[in-house]
Amino acid sequence: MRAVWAFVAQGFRQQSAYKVEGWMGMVSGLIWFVLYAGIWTALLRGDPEALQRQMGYVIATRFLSDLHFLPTWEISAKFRQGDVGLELIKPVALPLRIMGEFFGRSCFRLLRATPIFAVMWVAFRLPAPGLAAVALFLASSLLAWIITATLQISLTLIALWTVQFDEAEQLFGIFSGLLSGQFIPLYYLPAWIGGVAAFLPFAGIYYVPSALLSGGLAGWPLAQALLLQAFWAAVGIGVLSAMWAAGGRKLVMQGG
Amino acid sequence: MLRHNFSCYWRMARAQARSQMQYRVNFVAMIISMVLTYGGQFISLYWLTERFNSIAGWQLEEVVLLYALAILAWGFCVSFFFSLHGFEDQVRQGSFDRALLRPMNPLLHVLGSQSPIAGLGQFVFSIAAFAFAFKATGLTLTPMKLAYLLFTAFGGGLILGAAIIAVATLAFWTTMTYTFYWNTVFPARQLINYPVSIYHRSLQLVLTFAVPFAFVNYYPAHVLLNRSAELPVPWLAWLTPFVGLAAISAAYLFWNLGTRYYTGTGS
Repeated sequence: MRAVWAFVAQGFRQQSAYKVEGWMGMVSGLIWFVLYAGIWTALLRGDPEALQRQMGYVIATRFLSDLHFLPTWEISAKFRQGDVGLELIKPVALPLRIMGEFFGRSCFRLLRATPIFAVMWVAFRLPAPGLAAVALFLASSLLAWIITATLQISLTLIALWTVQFDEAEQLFGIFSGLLSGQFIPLYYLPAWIGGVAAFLPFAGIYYVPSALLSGGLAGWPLAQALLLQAFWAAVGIGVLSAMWAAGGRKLVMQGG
Repeated sequence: MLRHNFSCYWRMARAQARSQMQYRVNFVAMIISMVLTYGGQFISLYWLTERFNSIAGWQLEEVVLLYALAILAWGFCVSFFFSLHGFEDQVRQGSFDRALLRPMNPLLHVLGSQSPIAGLGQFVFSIAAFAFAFKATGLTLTPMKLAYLLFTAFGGGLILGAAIIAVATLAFWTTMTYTFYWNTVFPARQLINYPVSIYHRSLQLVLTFAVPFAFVNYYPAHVLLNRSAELPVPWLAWLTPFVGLAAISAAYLFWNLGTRYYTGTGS
């Protein structure tokens, strides 16, 4: 576990070195916020209460977008260029090391962006969430990150079998974009789609933490959603472990 | 000189297209994945308008037309300018030296390093989306409107291309293109997938005068939908090709300024 934390710290330091990228990331976050805020303001103009809840939801999804920054293309480059050989001689499994590093990078991004999210929250005069809600939001965000990181890294590991895996990642992106609540919360989807989506892993990536913080989920439905989120996080870890174990046997290194 | 440059560009681009067509399965997969990606956004639009009836007075088919125009213009931009997206690699590795040494315009040399059919996925999707929008709105595509549509899409492609050239030029000072593209041009381009009127007035002004993305689809859509009278200045809808030419000229001047600051890697 100490080794994993060392990778988290390494990722944190690494991200802090990319200063321009950090500032540009904040510009990007603001543009996305303006886009979503504009759309939902236009749609919910006649319902101030729903609009207020939706603004909280949008801010939460922007927070999660920064958390879910996963540069998986760096892993595939390691496979293509044969650098994965160096990874294999390290005492920590590649997926664990990558996850530690990615998490560290996300933590730095969040550290820089969180004051802006807080300012947005105040600027829209949203009610301050209680400490318990914030703690639950952070726990749920961590589960969300585990779900998306394990599933996306698993998809990247397909590169161990075939050089062409972009389409699988793209399909994941399309389904995630539609069913995760990143843009449209599940309660605004057509009823049957929202009902089905609630049971899929995608809902745990954006919808559950965002609806929790904005007040769209509470009581027993919230407990159910969190349990389901924990289940999908465990499934993600299982899938990633299995993929890495099978892929490691498949891997052939070119002699230099 | 101009003819010579474009003739060289065309030869390079054709060679790139032939090279891309050697990997047919990959090429078809790319088109399908593009159509699916835009199709996903179409579904989002459909769900939103089904739930809320309209977005700021724009019905589904009208927003789809707006979206189709944006994607068609983006298709032109991808086909002719997207090689600049990875321009930082040429600056960092010093391979831009090659473009400077060859007897043709360096910008056209860089643009010629990609296939001009790269935007086919965008074209396929936008044609399908236009067909849906025209059928659903009951509008007819007269020869006049078709000509307007093509000129406008080309002008929109130039506006978006100018943004990509501007971002690529920054690589001469910062050796970065990807970061600037993904954090500025990409999200800014998403803003015009919806009617610009939903944003704050100051942002509408920015999207009209500073970063004129509103000319890519928002103003032209008013002509296609016979809604020009709703615009505060109706003739704005006819300016897209001119704005495109002005934007690409400004971007080219900026590019020329940037090339003066290029330093090779020395190896």
